[in-house]
Parts: sequence; structure tokens; C-alpha cells
Amino acid sequence: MNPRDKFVIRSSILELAETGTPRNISIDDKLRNEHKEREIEKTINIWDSITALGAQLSRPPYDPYREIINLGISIGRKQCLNKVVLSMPLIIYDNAIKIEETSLESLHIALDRLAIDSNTNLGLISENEIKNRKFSHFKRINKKSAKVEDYDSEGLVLQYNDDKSLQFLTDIRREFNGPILVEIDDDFQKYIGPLLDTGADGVIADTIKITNNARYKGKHALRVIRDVRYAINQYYAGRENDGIVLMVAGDFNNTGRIVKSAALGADIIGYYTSLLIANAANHYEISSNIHTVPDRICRHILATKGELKGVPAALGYSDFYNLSPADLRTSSIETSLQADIAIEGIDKTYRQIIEELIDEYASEKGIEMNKEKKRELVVQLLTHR
Amino acid sequence: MCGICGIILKDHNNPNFSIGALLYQMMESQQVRAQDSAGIAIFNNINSHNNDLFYNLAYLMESPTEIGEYDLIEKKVSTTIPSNEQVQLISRLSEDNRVSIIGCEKEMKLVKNLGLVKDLDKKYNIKSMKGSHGIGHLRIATSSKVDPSNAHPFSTTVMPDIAVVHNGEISNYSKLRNLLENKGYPFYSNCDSEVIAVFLVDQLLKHGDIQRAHDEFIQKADGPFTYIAATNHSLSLIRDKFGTRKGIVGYNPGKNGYPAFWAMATDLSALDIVGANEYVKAASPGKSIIFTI
Repeated sequence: MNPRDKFVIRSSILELAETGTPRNISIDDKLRNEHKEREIEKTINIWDSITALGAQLSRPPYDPYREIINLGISIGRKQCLNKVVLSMPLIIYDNAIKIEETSLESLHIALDRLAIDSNTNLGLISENEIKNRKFSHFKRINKKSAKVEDYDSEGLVLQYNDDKSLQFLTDIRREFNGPILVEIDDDFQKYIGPLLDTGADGVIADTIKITNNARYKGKHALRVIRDVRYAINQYYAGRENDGIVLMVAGDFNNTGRIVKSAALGADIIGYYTSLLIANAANHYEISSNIHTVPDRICRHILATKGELKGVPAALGYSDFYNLSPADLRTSSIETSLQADIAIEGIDKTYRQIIEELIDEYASEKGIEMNKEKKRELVVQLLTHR
Repeated sequence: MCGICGIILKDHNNPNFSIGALLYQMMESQQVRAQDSAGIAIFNNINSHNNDLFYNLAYLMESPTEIGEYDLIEKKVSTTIPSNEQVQLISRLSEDNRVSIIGCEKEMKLVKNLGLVKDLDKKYNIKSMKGSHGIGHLRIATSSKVDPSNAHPFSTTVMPDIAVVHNGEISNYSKLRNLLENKGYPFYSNCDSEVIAVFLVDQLLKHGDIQRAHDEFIQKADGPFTYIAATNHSLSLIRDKFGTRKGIVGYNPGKNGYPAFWAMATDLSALDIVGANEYVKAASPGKSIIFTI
């Protein structure tokens, strides 16, 4: 969620608190009006125009089959000796924003409780040093430490800035045996190969940051996921994928978006909602205290876990990571174009429809067209539709 | 609700018995399960060409005059690994809408077509086919078109002499296919079952162990399935980890004038009809039963 949207929501809540009178316009409508003014409705609505295909719902139910749904994921490639195993595909992501001590404490208690009481190990990306924890911590670092002991976390996160980042990664890889995740920018296509060669165990694509940069201006988060996954697949073309993970972060604040992102190729979602709960509760609720806020975070995470198991089960999977783009359909041409999702009822992407149209036309008119020429024509028709 | 079956003779050294006749009976007894298409693959390492540098690329070509009529065509290839010439030929054939590529054969004979098993026999005389082991399939289409390219058994053009018949659904087909396509394996149909054959070939090329290949598939595949896979040295029956599709094995010690053999099928009626009703047992969920030569 961007700061302007947050402002609209907060000001609406405060307005209600101050006046005590019912609103004549809902917060959703207010946001929509705001988007219309800023002409960003098109990209925001892409999330809502995607549905999951329930093709396998036609099967008879198999109770034992449906009850076991795997959400667990291991982070770490072959070279990583101490892999981290998460119970569900979420890592609490601090968005590199400074979080207040009280909120962080509530969050840490919640993550500990989830690990101990509910056998649910989530990851947390944070710069802070966290002692005596039961959950997996991925420490954000930006300079090499003098001592190995300083890397007091299960995993590390570093930002790719330039070619020096590769040297930085090489140095750390030598000393650190846990998984190393690297945050990429909109130029990732240029360096993703060397980055994976150097030993990154996963890449983090912050879709908000990337879509704010020139190369992805006006494009949707889904396009970023699709492109990064494609780049990773290209890296592994003709070879076995040895376990690289793609983590996406940004505007993923509910189960629907988590599922849609996973289907498009994300392995792990950077989740900010738990931090928002902690922050909001500690800031705006007088009655909240250090014990009730973690409870609320735990309930939210466990509810999300239940929902995440429900979707693959309904689609006939026993493993969350078997979701694929083939499970998605869209009612919007824009969405089909951004993320190569098939259009409902036709079961073809918009690109495929255009390609077939060109083939038919060329064959009807007897026009010889090589692959390169056809590709150019497709791009032209899609761009100037 | 497809019907699958397989047979392997106990005495592998005398593969002059018409195993096709037994497969025909087993398939006919299960015909009630499926009527869209039928196919068999039979392995005969004595009557086949002993030259290592030889196999056939088999494909079905639609008749230019009669729509829906297909003929089996075999093109001789003189290498054990796909040569450039063969890759070019396959690439040219796969662009032709009238062609369905069905795989590479050396010791195996694979035929399949639309219609009932009796139609298949009429066209290819499957009852007279001799061999040491073989598999059969009757298809009712659930997820892809009714055409010869989507009929079973499935084979590949990457490795000769592997065939798979399948009953059920591979729900993560799309994911597995993408992974295998990314590795460079070609696919010639839109049927989820093809992914089993290609997956097994990928595993066999990696370590050559059929048991391990099946175990890997059980781990990676999602959905309800039972399949029978045949290579020139083995016949296997595999069920998914929840045992949601049937798969039974029985033994005929040499009754009714037949040589002794093991048989496997979806329905018990298929084992009964060929007298394979001793030591009858269902394959355990998540396990494979493998007979080797």
C-alpha cells in the first residue's frame, strides 16, 4: 500500500473517531476516487481481475488427499550448509522502515509463540539483533563484519547496488553457512546470472520499489514477479534448479494476493501486515498492551495459514508450491498482458490470441514470415492496441 | 476413469508367445471403463534389431482424404541418441497438424489410435504381437482432446523404449511440464500423462535407476494417479501416496495353456480373464512394484 492510500485510510478513521458520525462514503470508494484522480486504477484493479481456476473441483473428494497440504519450504541451495525451513511461505518483511521498539517486541513475542505453541516457524527480515528467539531471523547487512560471530542470524539479506555487491556476496559466502538472500532492483536482468553464480540462495524483489523505477514505471507487481521468475528459469535452462527461491515483497497484504503471486512463480512472500497490526495496535489503541498485541498477530497468522492450505486443496493439490500460472484466469486484457494469464472462457493469453491471428492472416494471404518478424509484429500490435 | 493393464512373462527368454492376445483380453474386459482411444506397447528383444545403432521414430499421420483416420509410420534412425538429422525431422513433423509423434522404438512396438481395442486390433493385428512384456491403455478423455496425440501409451523422442500408461490426474502437470521444458525436453501432446514418461526419462538419464525414478515421481507429483511404466528391462506399477486410484497385481502360474506370467491392471476382472488370480494384491499407496528382466 502506498503512503497516499494509507493517508486516506488513517484520515477516514480519525475523522470517524473525532466526529462519531457515520460516513457518507466508504473508505474503498474514497480510495477508488483517489486512484481515478491519479489514473492508477488500471494497475491497482489487476489484482482483483484474477481468479483461481477450480478445474479440479470436478473431482470426487478424497478426504485423506485433501487433509495433507504442505506449506513448508526450505531456503538454501546446494552450497548452503545450514538451510532454513519455514512452515509457511511468509517472511515478515520490515520494508527497510524503522519500526518502533514496542512494535518489534510485540512481533518477536508473537513469532516466538507461533514457533513454540503452533509449530509455525516464520522468518523475519530485520536489521536488529534479536536474542533468544525461536523463529528464523534474516539479518539485513550492508557491510562485511570483521567477525563471523557477528552474523548472529540464520540467514542474511543484502542489497545489490553495483558490481561491488558481487564481491561483497563472494566474501560473505565464504564465511557464512546459512542462506543469503539478495534484494534486486529493476535492472535485475543484467546481473541475475552472475548473482546466482556467486552463490545467492534467493532473490528478493520488492515490487513497490521496482515499479517505482524507470524500467517498470506503470507496470504491475505481477509483471515483476513474472519477469524475475522468467529470468531465473532462463538461468537454469537445460539444467536442474538447485533450490533458488524467489521472494517477493510489496503490496501483498492478504491471502488472495499471496496465492496469486505464488501461482505466478513466487516461492516466499514478504509480509508486512503483521508489523502493521503491531504498529497500529501500539499506536492507536489505548487498551492494548504487550500481551494482547502478540495474540492478535498470532491469530492473524494462523488464520492466514488455514486459508493458504484451503486454496491448493480446493484446486486439487497437496502442496502449496504446485500452484502455477495455469491455475489462474483473468477477465481483463490488461492483466493478461502484464502477467501472461489466460483469459476466462478462452483459456488463452491475449498474446497467444494475437499470435494465432497473425498466423491465420499470414497463411490466408500466403505471406512468408520468420520468427523474428512475427515477434516484432506481435509486440507492435500489443503495444498499440 | 481410464483402464490400464500390463503383463510380464516369467520366462523372459522365450518371448515368442503372443502377449498381444493376453493384453487384448485384459483391455476388452475393462473396455466399459473407457472408449475414446486404445493403445499398447509390447517389448520383444529377440525379434528386434540387434544393432545398437538403430531405432525407429514412430508417428501417426492423418489420412489426407479421411479425417480421423490415422496411419502408423516408422522412420528408421541410425543412432542411439537423437542426431541433428532426427531433431530436424522431429521439429518438422511437430509443426504439421496432421502428425502425432508417439516416440522412439528399438525393442518396443507402440501402437495407439482412436476408438475401441477391437478397432486397434483390426488395424494393427495386436493379438498376434509377440514379446516378453507389454502394457495397454483405454482412455476416456478428462482434460485434453480426443485425438491420437493424447492417446496412451506415452513415450518420448529423447530415449527409445520407454512407455507409460496412466489412470488418474497429475494435478501439478503444468508445474512439472514447465520444469522439464525448461530443461529442454520436448512435449508432443497436451495430456498430463506425457509428463510421467518425460520425468522418468529425465531421471533415468541422470542415474539410470528405475526404482529411484518412480520414488522421485511419487514425491514430486500431486494428484490421484496409478500408472504402469515399461522399459526394455522392466515393468512397474505405481500408485500415488494416498492410494486414490486402483492398481492390482496377480500371478498366473501357467494355467489355461498360458506360460507363467505376472499381470497388473485397474480392475480385478482383467486379471480374472487371463487367469492371473493367484497372489493377487493391491500395490501399496506411494510404492512401486517392479518386475525386471
